Order: sequence, then structure tokens, then C-alpha cells
Amino acid sequence: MIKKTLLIVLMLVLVLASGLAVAQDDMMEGKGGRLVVADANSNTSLDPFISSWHSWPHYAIYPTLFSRALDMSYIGFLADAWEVSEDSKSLTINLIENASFTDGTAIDAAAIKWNLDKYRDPETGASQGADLIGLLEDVEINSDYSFTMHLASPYAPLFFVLSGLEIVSPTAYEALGPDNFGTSPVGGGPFMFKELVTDNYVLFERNPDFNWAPPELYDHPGPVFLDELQILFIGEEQTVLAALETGEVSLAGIPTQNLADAQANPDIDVDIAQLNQIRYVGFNTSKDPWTNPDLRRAFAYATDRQEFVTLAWEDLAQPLYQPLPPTIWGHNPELDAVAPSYDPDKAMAMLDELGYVDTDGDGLREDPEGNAWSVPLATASPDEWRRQAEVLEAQWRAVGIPLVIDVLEFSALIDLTTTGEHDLFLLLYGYSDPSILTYFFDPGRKGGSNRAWFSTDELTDLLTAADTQLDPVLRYEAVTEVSKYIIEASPWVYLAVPPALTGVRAELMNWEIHPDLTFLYWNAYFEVE
Amino acid sequence: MSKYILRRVLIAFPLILAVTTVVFFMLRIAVPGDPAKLMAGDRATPELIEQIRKNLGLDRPLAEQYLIFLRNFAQGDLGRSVKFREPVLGVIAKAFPFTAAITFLSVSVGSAIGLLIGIITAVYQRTWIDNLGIVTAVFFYSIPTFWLGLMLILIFAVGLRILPVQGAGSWRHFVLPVATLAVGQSALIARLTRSSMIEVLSTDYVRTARAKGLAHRRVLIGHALKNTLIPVITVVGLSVGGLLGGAVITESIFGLPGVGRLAIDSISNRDYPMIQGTVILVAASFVFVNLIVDIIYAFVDPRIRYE
Repeated sequence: MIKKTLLIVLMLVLVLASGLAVAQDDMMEGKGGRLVVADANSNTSLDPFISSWHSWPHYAIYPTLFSRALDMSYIGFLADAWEVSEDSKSLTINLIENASFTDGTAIDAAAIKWNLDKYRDPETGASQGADLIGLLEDVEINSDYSFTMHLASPYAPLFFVLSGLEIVSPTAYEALGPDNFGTSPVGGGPFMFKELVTDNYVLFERNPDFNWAPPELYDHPGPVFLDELQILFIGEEQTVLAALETGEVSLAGIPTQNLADAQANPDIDVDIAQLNQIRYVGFNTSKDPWTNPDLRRAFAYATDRQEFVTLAWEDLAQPLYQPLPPTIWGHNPELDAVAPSYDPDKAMAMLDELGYVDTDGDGLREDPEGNAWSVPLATASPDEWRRQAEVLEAQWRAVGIPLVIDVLEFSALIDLTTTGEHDLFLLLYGYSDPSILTYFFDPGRKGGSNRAWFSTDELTDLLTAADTQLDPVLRYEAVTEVSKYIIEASPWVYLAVPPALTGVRAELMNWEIHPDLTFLYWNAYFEVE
Repeated sequence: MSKYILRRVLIAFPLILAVTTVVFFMLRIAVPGDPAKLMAGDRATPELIEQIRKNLGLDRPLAEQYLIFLRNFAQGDLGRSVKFREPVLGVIAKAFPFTAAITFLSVSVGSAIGLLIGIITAVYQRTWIDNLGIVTAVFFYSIPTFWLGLMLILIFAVGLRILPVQGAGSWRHFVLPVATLAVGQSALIARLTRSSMIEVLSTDYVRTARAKGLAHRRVLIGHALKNTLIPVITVVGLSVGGLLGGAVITESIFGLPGVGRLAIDSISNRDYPMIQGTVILVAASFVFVNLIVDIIYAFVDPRIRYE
């Protein structure tokens, strides 16, 4: 009798499984193709412990513990269920149990612990794991698919950090080592590695076993529809545009000046959004005369952001008056009203009061000692950056500020800001969490990412409060306080939020761009025979 | 001759080493920028930067880094790329064939066309053919490479759709980059051949050959052309040496994964081992091409002998 029941159950399971497989095959029929993306920034190591820039290739092959839904709330990816302890210092995560790496090993608690331990190990030197160093004290395995992270203190951006930490196969990593893993990476994402031609392209193929995508982002079970994903490392804007026009490339960024052409092309769909980036001018607040906040504020009043976005960005960017753009959670639009906005008369009055007056009548101000004044602004060499610097030069010259633009190669510019010898610098940042402000104003990061060399005890306390407050409402208030303080202190002049212009071939169906600006290819496909 | 070649090859080694040594120290001392700071990104603490520097071996004293470089260099190991973490030699070996292909094709095609135009314009000097040839050569020589490359893309790839925009997968991918480089090369060779040929045609031995009643074509090809070629070979050699180091603009415009693009990327990323590798390649290319040019001289002009 028991045998008979078992047989019936087994038959039912087989029928159900074959039915699902047929349904899956039906769903995938006529869908596939190779998505070719042009992205020079993806030309980086595929080893997430080495690369500080994570983009298309990493998202394609590695899963993460969490992801973000279209409303930007955190959803599980490898995490099935999770619980934060009362003191907010422990996070217990139960994993989905059907996920595996493409080398066949299971994505279980031991694999996750191996990854988290490697990220938090200072000797790894992983930029991506920088937040976990000193924060993550231990990872305790509860069972095969459950573990607990023990933190030194509550950390509000933890889910953000965990949604960015790519999980690799420990077995493959240990077998290949850091010297070889980047050229033969093994993950458990929607695609798996196929071929890397260094400095040319990387090619991925569909991971046929992948069926653990977050259902909030994925409207069908099972693998992605696309057969392959190829990322070309070409950066020459006009070449990329031409390749998009001919169909050699299916998806690419569009230069601002070519937007109208792309929009007029029936073969290209254009998506316009605002980047989660800002452009800003920073002052080295550790060096005179930039130690004076009134002088820094005078520059903010002398800056016409509206004209800036018109001249430098053809009106496609958005003027910015505070350290967080609207595309990053924590931006408070009410702060624009208290931030310095364009007021040349006020800027001139402030400069007069500080002793910067035009004594020789040439229209440019001298310093308080009566010597010729020169304000060096270091910026990067590409045209986009020079154009922005030239707009600022014209605006500031109008109030008598003699700006001298110093064009540097990007790496030299970054290096300069870590020396403490610099004056003003025109730069950008891109991120998706307000904790970015900690990186820029942490006293421990002077000589690193605190390029303005600005910190005060009060600001550090405010940043700590914002980073440790887990309640979203209270955290929003704490972030607002941080922004308000930074606006008042003016270590930066906030300029603009640049546009994200994406061109996609019309043949690609069912694609979507996530509010965090990642491209959702999960449901996308080309119609194939 | 073989002794001469051996001597030149032996001289090449200290020369390449000297160039590489200068680059090694210049990069680390005189050129601002730090690969560790770039790799650390926007979350960088000084400790993280220092750890990355340690992982890359950049925390060691400069002299020690240099000795390690020399030891590895002697074993044929140029180190690992900071950016790609792959052996430098392997990355260059993958990029070099693309650069070599467009170099030899563009110089061959450009030189052949340039020689032909140069000879014709010299023979028909001060006629409308000569004027047309000179104006055309000056025009094409003056066109910036990036502009010409983009125009060719717009016409043949975007407009006519008969050639690909970018990539390196088939012979069709090489047509436009080769054409872009060959245009300037042909204009240069045409101008040089013309002036050299005019000079040779006015020499006594050519006049004597004509006086002996030799056919015009035989005088031109059999007597004048060989001496015309000496300065042309020099320029062709320099062009090959320069392009083997990377036709940076052309490679960037056509998305060719060659040595030039690799070198520029490496400089931007302060990828020290990769920069050193490409410098060694450029130096070796120039030395090798110069040697070949010298050997060709001896074949073209029997009066030239090397001891």
C-alpha cells in the first residue's frame, strides 16, 4: 500500500515537473538573441574583490544577498527571509535553498560566510568590502542555509552594502586564486562566463539553471530569455553611437549633443533619466584661504546653476543646491530653500567684506593683502569637464573671481586631492545611499576619499547618527540634518545632477531601466526563429 | 652582414633596458597618480589604499621594486597588469596582432599608392597631372586622422552599411582603419617620392642612360627608382616603427583592441607593469624596424656595406 502511494506521488511529481518544463520551454520559445552593450567602464577586473567599479559584468554573473525592487525597497535575492535583532547589531538571514554556483557547488551559508569573511578582511584590500572592515565582527553559521551576521554597531546602510556585495564560488576562487579568478570567474547569477578578450569584450551565456531571481523583478520563472550578453569595451562616443545606429550594439549611452539624432532614429528607443551622480566643486578646507566658510559660501552665491546646466549640459541636467541629488534616498527638497542660490550681489558683498576687492580696476579682485589673486581649479581633461570649468570661470569672473583652470588627467586629479596641497577641484560622485557623505566627510578618510579635507566633531556625530539609525523616518531626519550642516559649512559648491541618456535598439523587447539606473534584462529578449 | 646584425641585436638589449629604466623611475617619481588610489575608489581610507599598495607590491622601496622588475625581466616575465591581473606579456601578445595587421596593411597599401602617385607626378612634373597630384597629396596629408576615421564610418558603415563600425572579428573590420591610416601614408610617400624622383631624374647617370637610347620606362624603373627609394624606405621604416607602438587614435575610433589603446588605458590607470610592457614593445619595434631598414638599404644600393 505504501509502495503504491509512493509510486503515485512520484508519478505526480514527474508529471508536474515535466509540465513545468514544457511551460518554461513554451515561454522561452521564439525568444533569445545576444544583447550587445557598449560600456568602456566595464573594462575592469571580473574579480569583485579586486575591482572597485562594479557594473554590467559583475551584475550578470554574481548574485547578491539582497536586491532592490522598483520602489527601491530592499528585497531578497539569495536571502529568503531575514530578521534584525532588537539591538540592531545582528542580522540573521535564511537563504533560498535551490541556488547553486555555475561550478555546481551550493550557495549555502558556508559559501556566504566565506565571501563575507573575505570582504571584511583588511588584507584583501577590497574596495567593495570597505564598509565591513571593523563593522562585521563575525559570521555565525546556524544551519546549512542560515547564518547570522554580528556587527560592532548598528549600521543603517547594511542592506545597501549587502545588495552590492557580489557572491563568488569559494571553491572556484580557492582553486584559481586571485591571479586567475578574474579571467575565469564563477558566480551564480543569470549569466555565466563564456569568454574574455582582455581590453576588447567579455561574453556571457545564459545560466540554464538560474531560477532564483527575485520575483519582484522577474515576471517568469527559470533562466533569462537572452542567449548571450556581450559587453564591448569601446568608449569613443561617436563610434558607440554609430554602432548603435547600425545595430552592431544593442544598448549604449548617448552623448548629450547627439540626443536629438538618436530620438529621430526609429530604430533606437531613448530613455532619459537623471543619474544618481552629482557634479560639484570642492574646496580644500585645510588650506588657507579655503578654511574660511564665508569665502566658500561666496563662491556658492556666485554660481548660477540654471545657467550652468544650460551651457554645460544643454538643459538636460538638473541644478543642484545640496549634497544629495533627488536620485539618492535622503534628498530633502525643502533644503533647497535654505541653501545658497545664485545671488551675484551678495557674492560680491561677501567678497568685499572679506577683503577681496579690485584695487587696480581690471575687473578682477586682489587678495586681502592687495596681491594679485589667483584661484586654481583642478579638473579632468575630457571635454565635458573642461566645458563645465569654463562655465564656472565665466560666472565667477563676472563677480571678480580670477579662476585659473588646471586640467589634469583623472588619475592625477584624484592623486592631487589626497595630498592636501590642492585648492579647488571639480569632481563627481555616484552612489545610491546617503552614507556616501560619510566617505567624503569622515576625518579618517582625509588623504583618501575626504577630498575636501573637511570634518568637524559635530558633523562626525551627525553622520554617525544617520548611519546607525535603522528607522527609515528617523534616518531621513538624521540625513537631513547632515545635509543641512554640510550646506551651511559649504565645503562643496553643488552644481548639477547629470542626465542618463540610454539608447536601446528597437528590436529588444520588454526591457526596463531600474530607478537605480541598472538595466533590467531579466525579462528582455530579441525575437528569434 | 651577419656580424653587423648580431651587433645591432646585442646593442638593442641595453637600449631597451635603458628606455624601460627611465620609464620605470619616471612613472613612480615624476608622474602624479597612484594605481592604489584609483583602485580604492570613493570609499578609500588611507589604510585601504595602503593595503592595496601592499597587495600590488608598491609599498616596497623603489630600488627593491626595480630589482624585482629586472629579475623578472631577465626571465621574460613583465609582471602582472594592475588593472587586469593578467600577465602583461599575455595581454600584449593578444593586442599586438591587431596593431601589427593595421600597421603592415596600411603602410603597404599607402606606400604602394604613394609610390605610384609620386612617380607619375615626377614624370609629368609641371603639368596638370602633377598639380592635381600635389594638391591631392597635401589635402589628404592635412586631414586629421580622427575626422577621416569618423567620416569613413559615417559613409561606409552608417550610410552604405557595407562595412562594420568597430571590432576586429573579420577582415572587413580592418578595411576602414587601414584606409584611414593609408590615406595619410600615401600622401606622405607621394610627396617624398616625387621630390626624390625629380632629383634623381636630373642626375648625370640618368641623362647618360637616356643618351644611350634606353627606353624611358627602363630608365625610370631600372635606374632612377632604386635611388629614389632610399629616403622613402627611411620614412616607411619610421612609419612602421611608430604605428607598431600603436595607432592610438585609429584604434580608439574603430574599437580595435590594439597596443595603442592598451597603452593609453594603462597610462590612465597608472598600470605600471603594463605601461612598461608597451614601452618595451615600442622600443623593440623601433630597433627591429631600423635594423630591417638598414638591411634593405644594402639591397637597394649595393654601395652601402656594413662592417
